[in-house]
Amino acid sequence: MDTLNALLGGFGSALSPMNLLWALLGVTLGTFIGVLPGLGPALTIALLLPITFQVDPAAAFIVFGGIYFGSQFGGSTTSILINTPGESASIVTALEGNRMARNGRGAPALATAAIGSFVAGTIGVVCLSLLAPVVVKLALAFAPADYFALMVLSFVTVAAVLGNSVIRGLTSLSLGLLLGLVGVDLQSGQARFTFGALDLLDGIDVIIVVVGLFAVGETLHLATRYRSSPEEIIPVKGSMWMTAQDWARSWKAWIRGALIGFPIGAMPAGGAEIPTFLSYFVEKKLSKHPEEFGHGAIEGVAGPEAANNAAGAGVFVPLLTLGIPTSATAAVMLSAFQSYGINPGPQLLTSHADLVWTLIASLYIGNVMLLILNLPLVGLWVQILRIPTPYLYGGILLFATVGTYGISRSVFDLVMLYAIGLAGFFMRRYDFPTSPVIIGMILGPLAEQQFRRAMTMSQGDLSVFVARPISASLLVLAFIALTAPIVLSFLRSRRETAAA
Amino acid sequence: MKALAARPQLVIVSLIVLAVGAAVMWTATTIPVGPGVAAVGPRSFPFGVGLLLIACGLLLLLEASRAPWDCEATDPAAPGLDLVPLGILACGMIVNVLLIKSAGFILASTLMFAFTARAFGARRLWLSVLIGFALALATYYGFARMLDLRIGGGFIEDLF
Repeated sequence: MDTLNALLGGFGSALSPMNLLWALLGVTLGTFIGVLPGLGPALTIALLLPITFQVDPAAAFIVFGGIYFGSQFGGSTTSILINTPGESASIVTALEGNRMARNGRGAPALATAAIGSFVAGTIGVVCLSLLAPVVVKLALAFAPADYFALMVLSFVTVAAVLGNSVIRGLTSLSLGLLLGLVGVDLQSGQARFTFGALDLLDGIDVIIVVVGLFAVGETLHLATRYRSSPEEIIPVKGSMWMTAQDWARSWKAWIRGALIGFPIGAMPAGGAEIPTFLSYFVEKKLSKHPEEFGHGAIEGVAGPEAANNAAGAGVFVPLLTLGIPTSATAAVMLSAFQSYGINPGPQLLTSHADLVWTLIASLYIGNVMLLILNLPLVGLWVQILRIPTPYLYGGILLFATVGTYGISRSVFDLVMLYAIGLAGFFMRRYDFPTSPVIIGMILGPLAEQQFRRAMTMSQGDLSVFVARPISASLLVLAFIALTAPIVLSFLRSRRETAAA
Repeated sequence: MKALAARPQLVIVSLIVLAVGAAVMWTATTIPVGPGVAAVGPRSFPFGVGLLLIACGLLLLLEASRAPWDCEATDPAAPGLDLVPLGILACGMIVNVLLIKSAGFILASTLMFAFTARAFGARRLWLSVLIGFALALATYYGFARMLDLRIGGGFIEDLF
């Protein structure tokens, strides 16, 4: 009952005219960014982080939540119409959706993606409202050692899940941890990795890293290949409305997608890729028309899109209750909380209950807004894809400059932005995932803090991490997550040599 | 069949990771440890990160020498590295860095916009300069003012 009252209170505040406007701003901006190929919510929220100095926390998080969901809606439009999935989670949507668009069924593909995202997003937010208070009760029993173990687990899973290789994921994560170490150590007051540069004493701003990797890096990467791989926009044809058969084939896929997506998203391991792939295979298995898969099966769009959005809602569970971000976007949101002096964790739901429930309520509202924005107005969003590439990327670099130089007015920061962009270019070229860098950078200092706290309490005895049942089991899970892919590939290669 | 021609590149990438790890370890030894010696000081985590990077570098080196991993650089089907647009883009960024303090954001970023547009194949220079200028002006007076960012003065900024 408490939860319901709190949620109603949240709606009361989220439905105020000003907050509705913020939500509208967020979802519109999010859809806009999502439609642009190659740009994501993490970048957008990072560029807008300075509004945290201007508006109250509730307004800022309503905007950020809107951007987050909006970019997922917008991203599916791009995957369906030009087969360049903006993020890895929409690869699956592009698989069947782009086929449908080529067969002249682009409109129903967009519709099932939008309605499915709405249904699953709503289911996801309902689950979030119910689950968050429960997780908080569990998390209150956590000691620093347990927190550290939990962070190790999410480091490992983030590195292992985001990308194709555990080693390259771990390398990216370590680079992120290194970036997080730069600056004055808050406990000892010692400067670390500053090389005597005053500009580095306060640490490296997360905005510079996010914008460098995602905007500058992406622009450099695309510049080297646009001449060889031109994009083709498929015009939206056919009736905007789904036929009775489309509905019949879609609704079960939406529900199944949501039920697959939310639990995986809500785990402190997280990620939206696994649920989308899982949902795709489930739909393929259960479909009465398996022969259509690969040639534009509507279930193959409906299920993964739903899974993606439900996982997106799930990511808020570890972020709001444990303070653990499992995606680059969540990591940037965590740093937005920090910029308000708020530390997300089990206390958040009691100390800032209004803020949390207003945010959750605005996610419900944002979903409704997005359905309206994306279903009838999809033709409008498609026009964004017609912005000529040269001006689009010129504009992106311009905004990147404003977002970084504008905060500090430091040429040093600008040079660092471009240097990190160059690093991001090479990471793309050699297939190192970029999201673990952001997560390592934001979560690393928190993990160090918990580690040192635990060690101080145990007076330097490392066994504290295995003595506590919670931290011991979390560390065992982390070890399994780290070694399982390696062991599996070893077994597979042994079987292959045995067979050969 | 993997392109073995790309193997040296992967070896270099692995060596860079290894070198960064070693540099982190070395730098960590120069972090002063305060007088109150705690069990875990400011050096512990840097050492851990350095070790992790060295371990990753070694494993990458092993992978590169045994079975080069799949990526754009090793994919024989991927088009070769197109360096011309990359060079033009880099020029734009350098111009921006050099001029932003003296000439101001609007002028420097207009130039960068024009370079970027050229890198992506824009043919009409006057048009990209015009669009870049309009966008920079709008950003300076719109976005930046809204977020209360201070982008500083310059030739054009000081006119108003």
